[in-house]
Amino acid sequence: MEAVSAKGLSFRHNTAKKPALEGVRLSAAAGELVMLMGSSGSGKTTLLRLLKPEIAPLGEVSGEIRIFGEKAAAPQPKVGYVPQHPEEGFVSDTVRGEIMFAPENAGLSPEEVRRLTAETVSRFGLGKLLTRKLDGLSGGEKQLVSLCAAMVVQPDILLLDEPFSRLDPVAAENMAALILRVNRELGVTVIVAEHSAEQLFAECDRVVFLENGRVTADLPPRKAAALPAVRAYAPAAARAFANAEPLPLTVREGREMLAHSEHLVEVPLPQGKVFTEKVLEADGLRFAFTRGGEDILDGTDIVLHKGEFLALAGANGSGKTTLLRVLAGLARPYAGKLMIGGKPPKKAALRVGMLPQEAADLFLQPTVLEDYRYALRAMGKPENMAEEMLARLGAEHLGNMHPYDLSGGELQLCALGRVLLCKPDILLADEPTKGLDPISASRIGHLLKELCAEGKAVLAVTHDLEFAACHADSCALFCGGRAESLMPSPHFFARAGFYSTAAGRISRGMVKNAYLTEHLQAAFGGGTYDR
Amino acid sequence: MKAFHPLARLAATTAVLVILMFCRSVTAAAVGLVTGLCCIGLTDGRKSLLKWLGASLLTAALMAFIDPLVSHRGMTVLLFVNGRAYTLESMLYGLELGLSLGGVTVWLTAGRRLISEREMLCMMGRLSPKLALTVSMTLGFIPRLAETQRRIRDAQRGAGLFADNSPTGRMGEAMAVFTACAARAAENAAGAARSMNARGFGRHRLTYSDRRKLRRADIILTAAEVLLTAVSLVFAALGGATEFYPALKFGRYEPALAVICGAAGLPAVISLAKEVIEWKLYLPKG
Repeated sequence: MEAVSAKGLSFRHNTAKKPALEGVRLSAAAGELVMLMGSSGSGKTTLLRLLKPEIAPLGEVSGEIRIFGEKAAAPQPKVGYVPQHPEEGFVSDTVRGEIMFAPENAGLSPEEVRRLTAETVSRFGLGKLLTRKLDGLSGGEKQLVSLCAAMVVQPDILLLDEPFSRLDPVAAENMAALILRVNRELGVTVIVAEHSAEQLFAECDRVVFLENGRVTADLPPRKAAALPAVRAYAPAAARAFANAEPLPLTVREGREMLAHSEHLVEVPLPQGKVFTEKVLEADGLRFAFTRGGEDILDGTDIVLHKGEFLALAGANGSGKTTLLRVLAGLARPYAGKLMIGGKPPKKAALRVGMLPQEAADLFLQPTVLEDYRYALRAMGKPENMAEEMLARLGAEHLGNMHPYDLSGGELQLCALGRVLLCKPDILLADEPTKGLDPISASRIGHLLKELCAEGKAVLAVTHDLEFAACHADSCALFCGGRAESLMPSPHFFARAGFYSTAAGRISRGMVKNAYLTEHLQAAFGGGTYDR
Repeated sequence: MKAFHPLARLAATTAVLVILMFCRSVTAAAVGLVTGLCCIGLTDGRKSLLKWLGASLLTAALMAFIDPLVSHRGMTVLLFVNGRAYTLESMLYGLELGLSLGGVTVWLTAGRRLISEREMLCMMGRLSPKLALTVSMTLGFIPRLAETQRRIRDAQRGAGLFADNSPTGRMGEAMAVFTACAARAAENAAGAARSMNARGFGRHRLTYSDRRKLRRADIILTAAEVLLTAVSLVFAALGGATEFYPALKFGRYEPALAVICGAAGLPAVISLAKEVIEWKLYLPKG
C-alpha cells in the first residue's frame, strides 16, 4: 500500500517568481525508506512540508497529495515531521516538556500521555536527558529530542529534513542507526531529505533526486548512484569505483571491491606546501566559561602561516568554536599567549575576520546588497565595494534578495563576502560547509583556497573530513581542548586510523596514502590523479 | 524535602515569607532568617551559608545605620547629625527591616532549592494548562534569545563592525543587534508556530500530564502551613507586631509569632537535615 503519493505536484511561494516545485511525482510504499537528494534550494524542504499539510508553506499549489490513499488535509497525525534546525521547532524549555507536547495536545488522558512518553524515552534512550534544559544540550542530543518529539505519537510516516547536517561523523552515524531502527523495526515509512550520502544512501529503498524543483531521478540507490547527475552526491565508494559493476555504496562494499581487484598498493603522497611566515601563533591557551570550571581550551597550541589553509576537525562540542572566538578576540583566555603577526592582538597590524557558524547572524539589513553597504558605511569604507564583492563571488543576482530567502549555499557565499569586506588577513571560518550540498561545499573550498593564494591565511573548523582532505593545506584534530597532530593534510590523512575520510577507510591496509576518492580511482584504475 | 509534594513545599516557603513580609515582628524576622539560613546551609553547604549569613547581617547593619538618617522619630536620642536626632528606636526599626529583607531574600533562594521550575509549572498546569505552556515557552525562549543576541554581536564584531568602544559606538551596536534579534525572534516564532501546528496544538483540549499525587503527609503539611499562616496574620493584627515608636515595645503576641514563624520553617529544616544525615551516615559512599 502507498503511504505517500504525490502526482503532478507544483508549488510557487507567494513572493516568488518561479515555482519551487514543478510536476513532482513521488511515492513511498508503507515501510519504505526514501531519500530526497539535490542541491541546496532544489525544493526538498518545500516538498517535505507539503506532505505535512499543517505546516505547508503559503503559496500556489496544484496537483495531488495522498496519505494512505486519502487526500492529504490537516490535521495529519499519521505524519511526523523533524525540522532541519531542532531549536526552531522547540516549544518547551525542558526535554520532558518537549516530548510530552504532542501527546498532551492529542486529547489523551494524563495516564496515556505519561505512558507514551515513558515508552518513547525508554525506547530511544533519552532517560538521562529527560530533566535537562533544551538550551544546554549538544547538537546531537537536540536532534535526538526533536526525533523523539515527532515519534512520541507513533506516526506511520516520518519526514526528516537534513537530520545529519549539524552533526559530527560519529553523532551522524548514531542518528542514522536510530532512523534505520524506526524504519526497519517499527515499519514507519521514512522520507529523509539529506545531502550527506554516507549514512543512509546505501540503506534506503529509493533515491529521489530533485533539480530545480523537478524530480530528475527516482531509482534504487545503486542505479541512482550510477547517474552522472547524482554522482557528486553519491557515497565515496560509488564515486571512487564509478565504473565498477556492481557499484559499491558503502565503505565495506568498497573494501571488498578493492580486495578482490587488482590495484596499486601505494599512491604517491602529495607534496605539502611549505609555509614560512607565521601570522597567528597560540601558545598554551586556556579558557573556561566559569572560574574553576572545566577547561574548554586546555593549553591549546596552534600556528597558522601566511597563505596557509588550516582545517581543524573534531567532534561536536569539543571546543572548536570557542577556540575561534578566542582567536578572533571575542572571548578572553585566562592563560596562554596569542600573537597575531608577531604582536599581541591589541597591537596587531593584521586584521582577523570570522565567518560564524550561523551565517544568517551576519545580516542586519533586508537585502544582501543593502547589508554590504551598511557594513561598509559602518567601517568607513567606500560603498561601491559592495557591488565589487558580489561580482567577485559571482553572486550579483543575489544582491537584492533577503538573506533569509537564500539557499544554504548562497547564504554561506554571501556571508563569506560580508566578512571579506573588512579585508581580513586571517580568516577564521566556523563550519563553513555545514548543511551544504557537495557542489556548494566545493565552491566554498575553492574560494577559501583562492584567498590563501592571495596571501591570506584561513583557519576553518569543520567536522566535514572530506572537505578538509580535499581543500586544506594542513590539518589538526581538536580533542580534549587541544589541537592534536597539526601537520600537512596529506600526512594527516595518510596516517589517520579510523577518524578518516570514507575513502581513507576503504583504502586502509590496502592502498597506502589514499584518502581521497581520486586516490582510490588512481589505485583502482592504475591511472594517475591530480590533487 | 523532595519527599513532599511541591504544593506542600510551596506552602511551607510561602508561610514563612508571609510572616516575614506582613507581621513586622523583629523576633519573628530573626527566627525566619535563622531557619532560612539553615535551609541554605543544608542544601548548599557551609560556604554558601556563611556567604548568605554575611550578606544578611550586612544588609541588617546597613539598614540600621541608614534608617535613623531619614527617620528621626523615637525617644532615645543617641547623637545629632546635622542638627537632627539619630535615635535608637529608628535604628532598631532599620534593623528589623534589614532582618526581614534578609530573611525574605534567603527564603526566596531556599524556595528555589526546594521547588524546581518544573514543579512550579506542574502546579500551574493543574490550574491552567495553557498558562503553564506559555510560561514553559517563555522559559525556553529567554535563553535562546540571549544566545542569539550573543551570536549576532560576535558575528558583527568578527566581521569587523562595532570595533568602536565609545558610548555612541556601543549604543549603535546595541540597536543594530537588537533589531536583528527582533527579526530573528519573529522568524523563530514562526518556526515554533509551525512546530506546534505539526504536533497538533489547538485541535484538542490541552492535557497537563506532569502531575504528582497528594499523599496524606502532603495534605497534613500543607494544611498545617496554611493554618500557621492564617494564625500568624491574626496574631499580627491583634498586636503581634513590634512597636518602635515612641519607644521600643514588643507586641503582646510577639513570642507566639516567633514560635509560629519557627514552626512554619521547621519542617523544611528537619526534612533537609534528615536527608543530610541519611547521606552522611547510611547511604553507601561512591
